[in-house]
Amino acid sequence: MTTMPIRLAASLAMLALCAFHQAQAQTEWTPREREILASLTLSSLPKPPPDPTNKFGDDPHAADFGHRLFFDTRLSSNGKVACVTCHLPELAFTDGKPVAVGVGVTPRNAPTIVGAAHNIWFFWDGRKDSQWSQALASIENPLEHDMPRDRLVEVIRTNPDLARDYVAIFGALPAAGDRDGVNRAFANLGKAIAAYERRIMPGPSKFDRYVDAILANRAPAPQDNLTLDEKQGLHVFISDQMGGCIRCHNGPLFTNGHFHNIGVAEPNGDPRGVGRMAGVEIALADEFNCTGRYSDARPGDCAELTFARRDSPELLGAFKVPTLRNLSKTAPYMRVGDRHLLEDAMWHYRTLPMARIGQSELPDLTISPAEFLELEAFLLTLNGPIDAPAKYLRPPPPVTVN
Amino acid sequence: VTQRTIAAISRSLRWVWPVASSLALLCPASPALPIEPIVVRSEAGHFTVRVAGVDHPEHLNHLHSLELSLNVDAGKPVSGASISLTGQRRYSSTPLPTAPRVAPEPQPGHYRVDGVRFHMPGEWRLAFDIRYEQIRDRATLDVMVK
Repeated sequence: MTTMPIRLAASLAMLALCAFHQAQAQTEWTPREREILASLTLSSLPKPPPDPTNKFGDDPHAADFGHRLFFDTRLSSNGKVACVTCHLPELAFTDGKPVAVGVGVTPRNAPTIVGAAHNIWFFWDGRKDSQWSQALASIENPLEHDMPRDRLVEVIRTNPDLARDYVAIFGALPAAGDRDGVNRAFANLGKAIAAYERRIMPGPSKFDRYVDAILANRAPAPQDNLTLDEKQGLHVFISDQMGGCIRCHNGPLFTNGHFHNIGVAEPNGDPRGVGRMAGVEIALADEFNCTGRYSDARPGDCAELTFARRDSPELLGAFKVPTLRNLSKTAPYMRVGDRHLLEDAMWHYRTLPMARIGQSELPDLTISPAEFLELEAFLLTLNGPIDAPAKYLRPPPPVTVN
Repeated sequence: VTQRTIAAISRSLRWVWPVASSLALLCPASPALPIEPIVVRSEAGHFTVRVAGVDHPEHLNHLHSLELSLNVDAGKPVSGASISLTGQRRYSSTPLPTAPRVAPEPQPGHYRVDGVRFHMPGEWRLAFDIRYEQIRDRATLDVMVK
């Protein structure tokens, strides 16, 4: 008999608690801040748009073939290097090394390919304008795969498992010495790798689940609720007056995809430190770019190349803004991989080093030591799983050809 | 102890920015560039320029097109003008990440600018440099990009 009032009181208390949480969710962030949060959550990331330069981009057979190529060390001069050498699924498709090591040692940190289907430009200096043409450059680079295109086509031709898949998707392989045919086959192999890479996307992080709950005016699940420090760090991140991080690290991938000079020093005065200034010229002259004969794009599809900014002072020493998702797996940081800890990378933004090439765009940060730590706490809420078919996160099974 | 003290002071001052931001809301702000036209007058007063977004140009990280209608003060359309567009994020030196181009006039006095991209949120100033016969003038438009 006495349990009824107790149950009623408990129910009312639960209702009040829920109402409190809902009210808190609505009032913790201003309307403008909620707009910004909505722009950052993965829920606002659409599926990658079709790549007009790659008619095989959404072909599942091409993606399966690309998966096999991605893991295949036969695509290198020493038989030891594959795409996966520098893009390991367990490290969010990076390699954990300061700079990428293929057949030789490259001067650049290996960027993640997670979510790269949304990129406009590829490589740190944006010298490629599609995923498939990026893959081609890595295959031929003497420091990466070191595999010239004609030798690559021979590898495909002389390995029955590879030849069978190639022919099934793209048709006959070119005759030896057919320069244009070799170029087209080379491009096709890049398009298969890109078809695979397009399916590698970021999965929801604690931050995304928190924001989705807040925007739905419900209390986040306990494990998804940001701590006070993480919330304060998020405030710093999105505030233009404080961290200002969102100026460049915006959108659900936490990058604007463009190029900025932040004064990261190039080791030994490497002339490649000119960055986007040279990268855009290389992209425009590339035979495998959007407007090239090996692209599947129609006239009018290549607006990014058409409107690319050139020969402007801010491009000197400017490099692409990387995503901030999965930072706990993508160390070391910066394009030269000289920051082993996230704190070290963040410290760069407080020390404001002078650019050795061009002029740094970094503003003076007006954040305190405590806010600096809170910002780091927030950044670690962006870790999440990889959203891709499970088979694409493992080496492909061995293939037998009868 | 010093770090803790700094952290405590920092925490106690957290109210400063929210209050400052709230006060900023009371100040006049630049409009988001709408699909409906905005009319601006050039600096030397030679032209009026109607600017409209073809899509939602206030959105970040998309290529946009703008439609311009150029008139002299009496309302007569100006045909054959040379127009170029530059843009800069206000209070910083960051220019547009693209090089917009003005397409040939689809009809007299009407111009279309393609390739406008905003890659950073905040207030941007667009400058339309206009050359027509011996006249050189500039019209500017401030837009808020979210």
